[in-house]
Amino acid sequence: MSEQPEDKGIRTGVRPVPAARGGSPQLWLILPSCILALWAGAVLARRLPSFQWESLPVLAAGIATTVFALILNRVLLRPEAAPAQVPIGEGLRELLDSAGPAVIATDLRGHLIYCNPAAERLLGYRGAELLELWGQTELLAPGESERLVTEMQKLCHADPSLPSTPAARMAAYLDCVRSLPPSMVPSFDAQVRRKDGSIFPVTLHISALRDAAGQLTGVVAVGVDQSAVLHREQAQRESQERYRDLFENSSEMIATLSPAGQFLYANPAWKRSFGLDYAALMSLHSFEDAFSSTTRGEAAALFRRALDGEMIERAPLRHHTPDGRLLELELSLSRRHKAGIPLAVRCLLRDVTQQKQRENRLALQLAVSPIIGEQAWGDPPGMRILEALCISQGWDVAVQWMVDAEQQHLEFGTAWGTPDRHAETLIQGSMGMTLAGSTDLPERAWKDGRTVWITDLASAGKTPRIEAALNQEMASGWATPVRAGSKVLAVLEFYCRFRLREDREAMAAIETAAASLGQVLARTQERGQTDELKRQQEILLDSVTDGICGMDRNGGVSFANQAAARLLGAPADFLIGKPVHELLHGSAPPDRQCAQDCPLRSAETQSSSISGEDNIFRADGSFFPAEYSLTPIRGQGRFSGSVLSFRDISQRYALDRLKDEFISTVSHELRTPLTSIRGALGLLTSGILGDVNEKATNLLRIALTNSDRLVRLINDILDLERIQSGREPLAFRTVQLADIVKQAIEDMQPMADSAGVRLIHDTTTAEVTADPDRLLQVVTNLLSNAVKFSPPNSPVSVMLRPGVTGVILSVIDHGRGIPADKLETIFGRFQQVDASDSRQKGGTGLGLAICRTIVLQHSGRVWAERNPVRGSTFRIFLPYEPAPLVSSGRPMETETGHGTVVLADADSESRPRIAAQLARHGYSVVQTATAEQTLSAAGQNAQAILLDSAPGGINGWEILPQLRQLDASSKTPVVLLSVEDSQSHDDLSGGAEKPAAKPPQEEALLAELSRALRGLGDKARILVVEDDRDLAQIISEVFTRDNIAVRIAHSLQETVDACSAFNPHLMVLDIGLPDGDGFNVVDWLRQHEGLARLPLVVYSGRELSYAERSHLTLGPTYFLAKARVQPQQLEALVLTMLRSSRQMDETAPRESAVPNS
Amino acid sequence: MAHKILIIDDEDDIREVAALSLQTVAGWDVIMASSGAQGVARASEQHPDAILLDVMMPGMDGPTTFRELRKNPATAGIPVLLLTAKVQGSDQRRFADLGVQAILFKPFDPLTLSAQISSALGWS
Repeated sequence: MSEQPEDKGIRTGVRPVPAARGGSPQLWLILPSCILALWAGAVLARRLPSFQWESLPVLAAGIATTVFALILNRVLLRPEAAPAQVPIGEGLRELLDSAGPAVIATDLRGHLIYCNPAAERLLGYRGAELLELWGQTELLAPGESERLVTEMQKLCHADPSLPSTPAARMAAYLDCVRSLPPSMVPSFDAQVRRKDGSIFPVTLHISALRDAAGQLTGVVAVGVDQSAVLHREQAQRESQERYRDLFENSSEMIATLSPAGQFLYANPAWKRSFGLDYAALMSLHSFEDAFSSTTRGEAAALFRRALDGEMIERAPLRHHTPDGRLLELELSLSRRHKAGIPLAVRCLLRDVTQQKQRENRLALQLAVSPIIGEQAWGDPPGMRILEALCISQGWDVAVQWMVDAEQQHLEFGTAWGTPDRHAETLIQGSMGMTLAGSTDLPERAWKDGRTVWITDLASAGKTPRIEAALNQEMASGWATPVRAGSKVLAVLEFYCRFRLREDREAMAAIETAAASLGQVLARTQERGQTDELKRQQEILLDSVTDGICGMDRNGGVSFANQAAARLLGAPADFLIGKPVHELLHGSAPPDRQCAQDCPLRSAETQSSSISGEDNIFRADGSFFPAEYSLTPIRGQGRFSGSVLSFRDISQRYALDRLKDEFISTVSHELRTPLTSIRGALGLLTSGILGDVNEKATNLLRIALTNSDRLVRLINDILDLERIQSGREPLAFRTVQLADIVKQAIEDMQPMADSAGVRLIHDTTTAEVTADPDRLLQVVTNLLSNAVKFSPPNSPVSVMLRPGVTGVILSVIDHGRGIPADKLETIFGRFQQVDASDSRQKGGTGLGLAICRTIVLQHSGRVWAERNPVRGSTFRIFLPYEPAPLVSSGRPMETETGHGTVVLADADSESRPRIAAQLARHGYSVVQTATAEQTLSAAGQNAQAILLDSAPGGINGWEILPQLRQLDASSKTPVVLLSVEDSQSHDDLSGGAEKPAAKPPQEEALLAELSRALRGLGDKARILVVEDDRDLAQIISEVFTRDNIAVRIAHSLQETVDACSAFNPHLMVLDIGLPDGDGFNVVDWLRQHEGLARLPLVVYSGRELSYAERSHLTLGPTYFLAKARVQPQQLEALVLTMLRSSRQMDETAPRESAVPNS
Repeated sequence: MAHKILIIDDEDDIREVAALSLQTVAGWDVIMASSGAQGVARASEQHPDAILLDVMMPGMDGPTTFRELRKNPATAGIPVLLLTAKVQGSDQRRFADLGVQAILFKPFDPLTLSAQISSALGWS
């Protein structure tokens, strides 16, 4: 393009054609027709259904060639035009120069007469180069010129002859052009070679240049570069291929639907999901018919909405395939329309089954976890799990069957169904049902222990459940066991109205639900048991009369029983959360507030138990005396709270008050007459009132001594009671123990002097915290005992030995000593080494009991020891600092174990009762029911054997020899329990002791056992009081062979003497005596301690009245009529009684045990 | 010197024994009353050197009688010894709190009764 200055301003616009230039009017004449032709072509292209916009440039190029040919005709028709410099009007040249296609014109000789810049660009040559090389260089790709000539020849129906030289080809070419009709512009696709050698496609439009006369003057070729077009076409083809590939291979179902709903196009994905091939889809009456019946309506509705213009995006649909699969689908629909008229509906259907399954599984788990996690009751958790499962899986009915406790049958538990008639009917029919002994679906799952799946119920064996399901239009059914551990707790049964085949997804869901349900059920069962336990505990707690509160770790009440609420006069709710002090003292009115050091104040912070007595205030401010204890609970070593129990002891207080009054009264009422007696005797004995004869003096002395003893006895009883009651607290203070000892010695000196006993003490000093008065009482008491039992001229020494935690005070005597078996018992009440001691020594039998009580109150111990050589030592251990006694201070009942006893009794009714009796009295009992067990138990350190001799049970008479054989050396005593007393005692020679009557009376049994355990020791002593010497002789002979010492008294006086000298264990008493009668003997015995409870067999010649019998009763007393009783019976009775003779506990006289009385 | 002692006790026997004891052992003069009221009257009439007062009596008991004696100026200065059969500590403390000169216990030894009284009252 020329760079003329005047052109600059209008370069971008259409250059106006100057009117002065020649040729331009002609050009303007043809332009409109060109434009018209272009427009027509475009319109035509739109009309053609197969028209492709991409072919438009080719068409345009053809038209353009025609135009260019016309233009060149005008331009080149100038006769004077030089061949190289075509005399072209300026306007036309510009047009040609700026044309896009390449334009080349040649004359008839084949010389180049024109080429435009586009041609230069296309071919890569400059115009001058082209002109120079024209005819020497082949511009077409190899073989192309030959082909073109051939094609031209074909076109103009010329004889095909292939010229071999280029010149000949040119000639043939021109010939062809010449023969073409003027209207014809043939086009050829040719491969052209560029200057750089590259080949590119070009469409050549060839036309003839003719002069006005129609004579051919040259040839014009217009070349349109097709490289870009071909590229585009290929890209388009590839794109179409890609789309097709995409559609055909898409996993999503793609379809085009007609507005009537029929398939116009469907990709193969439909076949995969729906099992319908292309033809089947195309033949469907309507699109929704592809879906299962439940989905059809929904699909049709969505289609209608899409047709109305709504964009349906990913609407969820559920499709049950005929082969039993459930598909989760998402349907997207959009219409194609023109001016609101729907042309088609695009359909995209995505199979999201797997994704949905994942979601469902998650949703199921999310739904199930809180149900498992929940602690509260509410809906049965089973039902909610079933609901979650069915909804997520699209199942219709689920029934939970519970395995009963005995594992015998299945019981309807709970159920869930889709809300419709069929599911409901099926569930209604299941309610309350029990399945047992059939092979129905749930039972099969239970028995098989695995899921049983029936895809097609209709073709399965008919059972009641399956029939019921079929009746409610269910298609498939299955059942699965629910386990907790290895135990099947329940069975889940499912039905679905669609054919569903067993698949992994469903199984996974079932497993999730079953496992969760298993947990829930196991926990529910556990909780059921716990609840039962809790209920029982609550009943227990509510039935006791003590107030019981559970305190949590922070010291607040977490539980209060009914008694607690009742005692505190407030509802149980009111008590919850209160700390102990607030609970018991919180309602105290201002004037009754407890002290700051009230132990309850710090109770909640203590993890050790506390107990005590205190007033407890009710909600209304009133109070009652109570005994309380707070016991910490340790769970796995950790303090987890405590239990508070308290009881109203106002009654006990009232009783205590009554006892106080009683004691006070008794002490007064007894002392008042004693005061007179003692005073009168004292004055008489003193001789102040005048001389008394010797006999009278002696009697007065006896009376005085005994009245003194009575005073001491009363004092000691009251003293012991007073100390033990704890009502008079000890006054602790720092005490020099040596001072106490000195004081006691000083007090005892007169007594020691009169007994000729020396009192010695060492010089050790020790300081303890104690109540000095009480301690003095103890030491005095021990000294008094020591002096009493010391021979004259013997010393009694007191020693102090300070230790680490306390002091041991010892009182050592050289008296007669204490038998080893009495070392402990002497500290009991009225327990003296010898019953005569109290009389001889003037003791009351309470001194050591008082000592022990006082020492215990000092947190100390007191015990007795036998000295190596002679005498005894009493020792007291006193801690330097006694531990405070929190409780009321009653000394513990020291229940000493009596040893192990084998109780052999086949009778399961009587055995536990006897065992309980024995256990209550401190025996450890080994119970046996067979001979073998008994023999085995007897070999293991039993101290005694109680043997049932009842027929039918363990035969005691048979087992006895075996026991003796087994146990020849140790001689374990055997007590036979018999039903009757009249067994022949001759059988006892095997070594058993006395048969005790069975069912044995507790006392008798214990007496027998106690005796058996102790052994007879020394010979039993019987005093036979009988004035008939012959009869007395007979009786004594009866017993002699039993290795019993018998003494006979023929008169009252002899009896009294014998009692003192012989000290009998038992007395056989005749009523008639020469110097009195049995009544006198009994009266005398009654007055003597130690004899007042002497076992007595009253052997009289006459029947005695009730009053007489009462009069004659001492301890265990039996009455026999001489005439009726054989000596053997007397012997049996006496033997029995002897064995109980040292049991001081005997109280009631018994008459019933003896036959014929 | 012969002291004059008033014995107030509802029990005739005890009164007799105590009187005999004090008369024969110590040679004191004894006057007697069988009730609290009578005792108060006798005391104000006869001005004994000391009063031996029983605790448990029907009507006016020992403590009441003691308070009556203390109210009356004529008897307020006469030393009083309580004679009691009660041994309970609480009772003893209660009696001690009354302000009596001494508490003697029943049963008493008639041979030493006068000595106990003398000792409690500081009589030589």
